[in-house]
Amino acid sequence: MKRLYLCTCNKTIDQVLDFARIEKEMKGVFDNIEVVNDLCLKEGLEALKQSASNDDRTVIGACSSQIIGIPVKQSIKNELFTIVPLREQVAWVHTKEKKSATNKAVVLLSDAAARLDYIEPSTKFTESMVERVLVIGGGIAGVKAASDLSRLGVSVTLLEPVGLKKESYVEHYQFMSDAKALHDFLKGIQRTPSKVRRVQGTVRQLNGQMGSYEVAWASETGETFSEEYGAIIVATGAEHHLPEIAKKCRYGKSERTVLLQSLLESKRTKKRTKGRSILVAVDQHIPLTSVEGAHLLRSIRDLSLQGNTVFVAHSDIRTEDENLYRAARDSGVIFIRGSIDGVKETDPGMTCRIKNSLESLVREVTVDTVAVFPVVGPASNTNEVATVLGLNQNESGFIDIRYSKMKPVQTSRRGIFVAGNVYMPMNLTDALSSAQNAALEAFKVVRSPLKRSGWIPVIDEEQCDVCKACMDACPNDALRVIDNRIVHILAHCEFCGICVSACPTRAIEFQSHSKKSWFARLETIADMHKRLEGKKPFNFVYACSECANASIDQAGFAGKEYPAGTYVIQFPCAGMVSPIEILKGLVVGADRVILAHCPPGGCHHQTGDHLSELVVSFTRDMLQEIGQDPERVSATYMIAALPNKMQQEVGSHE
Amino acid sequence: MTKTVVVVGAGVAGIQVSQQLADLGVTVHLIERKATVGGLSAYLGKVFPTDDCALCLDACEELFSGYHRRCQYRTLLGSQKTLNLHTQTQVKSIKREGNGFSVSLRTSPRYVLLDRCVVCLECIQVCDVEVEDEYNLERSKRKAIYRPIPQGVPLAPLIDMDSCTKCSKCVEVCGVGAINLDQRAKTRTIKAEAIVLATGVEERSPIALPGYAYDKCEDVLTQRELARLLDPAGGTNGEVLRAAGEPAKSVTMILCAGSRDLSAVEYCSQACCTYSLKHAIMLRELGIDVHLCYMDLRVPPHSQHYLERAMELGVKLVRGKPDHVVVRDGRPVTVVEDTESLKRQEIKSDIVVLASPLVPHASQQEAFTVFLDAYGFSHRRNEETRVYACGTSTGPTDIPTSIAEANAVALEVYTDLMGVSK
Repeated sequence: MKRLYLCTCNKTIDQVLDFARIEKEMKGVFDNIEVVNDLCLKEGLEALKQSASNDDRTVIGACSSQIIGIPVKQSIKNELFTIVPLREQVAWVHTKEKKSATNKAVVLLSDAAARLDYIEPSTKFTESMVERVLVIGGGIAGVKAASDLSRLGVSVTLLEPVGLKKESYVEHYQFMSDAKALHDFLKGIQRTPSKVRRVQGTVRQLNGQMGSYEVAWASETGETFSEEYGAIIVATGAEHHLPEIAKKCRYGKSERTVLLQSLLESKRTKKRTKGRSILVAVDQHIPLTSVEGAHLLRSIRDLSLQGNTVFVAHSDIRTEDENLYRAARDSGVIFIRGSIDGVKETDPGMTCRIKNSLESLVREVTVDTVAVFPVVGPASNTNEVATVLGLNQNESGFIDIRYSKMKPVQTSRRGIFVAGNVYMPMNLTDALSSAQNAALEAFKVVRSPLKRSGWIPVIDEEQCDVCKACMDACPNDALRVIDNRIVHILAHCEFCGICVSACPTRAIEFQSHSKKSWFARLETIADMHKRLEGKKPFNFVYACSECANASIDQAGFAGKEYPAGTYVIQFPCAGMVSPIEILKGLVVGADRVILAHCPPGGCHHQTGDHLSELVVSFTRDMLQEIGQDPERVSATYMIAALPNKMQQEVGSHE
Repeated sequence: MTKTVVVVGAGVAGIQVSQQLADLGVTVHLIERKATVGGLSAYLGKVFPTDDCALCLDACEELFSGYHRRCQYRTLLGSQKTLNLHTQTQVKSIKREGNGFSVSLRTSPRYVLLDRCVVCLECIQVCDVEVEDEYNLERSKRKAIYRPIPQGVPLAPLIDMDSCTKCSKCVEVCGVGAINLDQRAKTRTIKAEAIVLATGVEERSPIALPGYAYDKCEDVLTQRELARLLDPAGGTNGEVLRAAGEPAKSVTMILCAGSRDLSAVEYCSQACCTYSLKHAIMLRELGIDVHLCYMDLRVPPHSQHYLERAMELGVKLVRGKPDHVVVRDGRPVTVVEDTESLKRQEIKSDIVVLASPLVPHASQQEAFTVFLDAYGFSHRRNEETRVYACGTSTGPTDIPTSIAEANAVALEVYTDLMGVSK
């Protein structure tokens, strides 16, 4: 039985929309229509719970699914329902054209009724997770993550680079903190009576999936081992690299040009550098991170306090602790803003030309020694580890994370996390916090069986020619080739449907979102619109269910009105839309089809924003080719912080 | 046995730590002083480093399998079984009791019942009282019953009793009985095994720095106030207007206005360079001329693209800290010595924007002062056992660092509470 629940939202929606007419129009479509005033409240939900039976299919015409979705899902006995946001996307944004608003409500409810025929129950699954974590270490963060996980009762293997000694931790990570804090921390953590298994070796191969990754590594002697892990943490750390500026400073050509740390190391061996004039050269092309800035300030302060005259050619110095800046200045360091343009070996010493890039001022300083300040880059084995594990790297070779604002340790692969300097240079505190983040995420993966439910892609093996386009497109590594056929990995899937638009033969259909269903829905909308609004033009907005849909809802909250002849159709992700759905929209008579996605680089499923732009540009080319106006199809981003975006795209009434 | 944690402050860090703990099975009471969550971030609209909404949250496991981010306005915060959000609630005192704490709370009345309101907003329509909207620099109007932020969670409106005339029009129009004009403040005590301070920071009012003419000229703003002008959902619909009402053609920004200064706030507020650059870019995109006076541009690597973009768009960078702003013919003039060229400049502009230091909220409340250092910040792991802090309450920082810190603290709290071996 098809049921329709309409909510008036405290008798407000029906002041804009003619509910009597809606009910009359919908009578033939639904077997049962009920109108309530308070669907989101206890009594409304209770009524819904009581009246709906197991095999009903239900349309809810109320507020946005973002608000009422979860309460309804918890009250209705099955998953065969769909929600039409009559409040945010109709009543609140079309107050000036009430008749058309009612027409729009009828069109959208008819669309929802058509959709009901294609809704399937979601796929549910439970997978057990191997309760073991591999930490690929070498850095301080690795030791920390391993120790934290072990405290939580998870069994951990810490795989360190061959030949790594405990002292190397201090040597390699001088830049992260002052020596005492570093020593204290390491002393503490090495003492921790943990059950961590420590081995040395190199990762060779990775198979399997989150919850059961099979990792092979080779020991120093070349012997290979293989073991299963539920999650993996990469903490290979960072190391010092020579900056480009070193060449200009005649590093390697003149004995009077050295690396800054060599001056500091001689301090440790009691061979103090003193009474010298030193120019510290900082490469301006690579912006200093605050940890590097703090390291620079600590180093030059120490050199100055030893009785040297220290100059620094720098641009902007970031530091976490302002007192370091002050201490360096107070110790007598001379800061010169600018970059080193050239160094000449002259009789009295090294003559350095320092050019101020902003004002084209040039200064010359002659010193005894030029000290090149090294940059912190990824450790030498990062590339190898990233390749074996299949992780993306950024331009500088650091491992990429999923989303810089909210996902600090998640990599491009499910169940594999980063900790510490392997993703950017960090100070000791941030590196430890990063290690804790990674430990938390790994713990959440392995602590209990994975339970998930959602609509998934279904592959038609007869249509599939194993071209692997879907694998390349999937941002989550949820599709693989096994025995020459494409296999879907449930544990990795995010239910976005990007694979659907990537498939050139449409061998993949997403549950509840098949091509057939889109065609039926678009035709229903067009037919109903033409019946109610005659020749009045209409547009489709294909909106992703994340940012775009939120922005369109917010247009309602902010009262940003737009013309009623705009039909928003929600897709799980804009990346799921293929040229087929766009062209079908035009074929059924829409003036324009607008594909609305998350902001650039901000897709909740990683690549949907980029892919939907590609699909639109491809579709526009096709239209051009056949003599149609490509302007009828466009792509744009929408976000909740910009509730005026919808107005900008489809026009306001003015 | 389930453990209880009180998290103070529902900004990005507080929400993140609460969701993580709730996912791990801990009962969480999230206490927020204001009527809506989001803290400082809610004022900023688009935020760096990703240029999307401040309202984006990590999905919780219970409702969304924890995989991808969700919009804050989707009211998830109340939906997790073990996460209890208390808005308009202040911590009156924190007392140690055995191994735990007894936290006494006072909740001010909202006059709108959260479990009854359907958010139809009819009450706002019928309210006759109009007052200046403090959220939008008092340059637009709001009603006595209002929603402070369009995307604010909880979505239900609240009544500002100071301006309400008790005409009861809203009560009559509310068919679901959600308004109670006689609601009283409530006090309650919660027993908790741990406390997490996520009390955050706020912009310090530049009134303390008389040289910048903040109190003399309405066109001298703070960055947060500028964000309200730039917000398309704000009072000016995203137009940058002078107080007199005409569109601004030029803006001068003063960074470190009162930060890194031994006679004001000594520390660096960390986030202002980047959000100033973000605003400078948005202004340039509106065709407005921008000067930006700075000491050092401290942009973290994940936000470096803002600096590049600002330079591309022709933001004029002046290295120097302006010593004062004078008002001439009603317009602010910034006096600055450019330390690159050693020339003294006078920059006339329609609006001057100060990047005011970010100062801790916690230091203003007696209940917390015992946990704080000289600046008013707390250590992540406080010297008092089972008291933790995260986000900007440990020192000013940006959203990515706050989130990372919140996750780290969630793990520490969980590990400590579960009593696993040290």
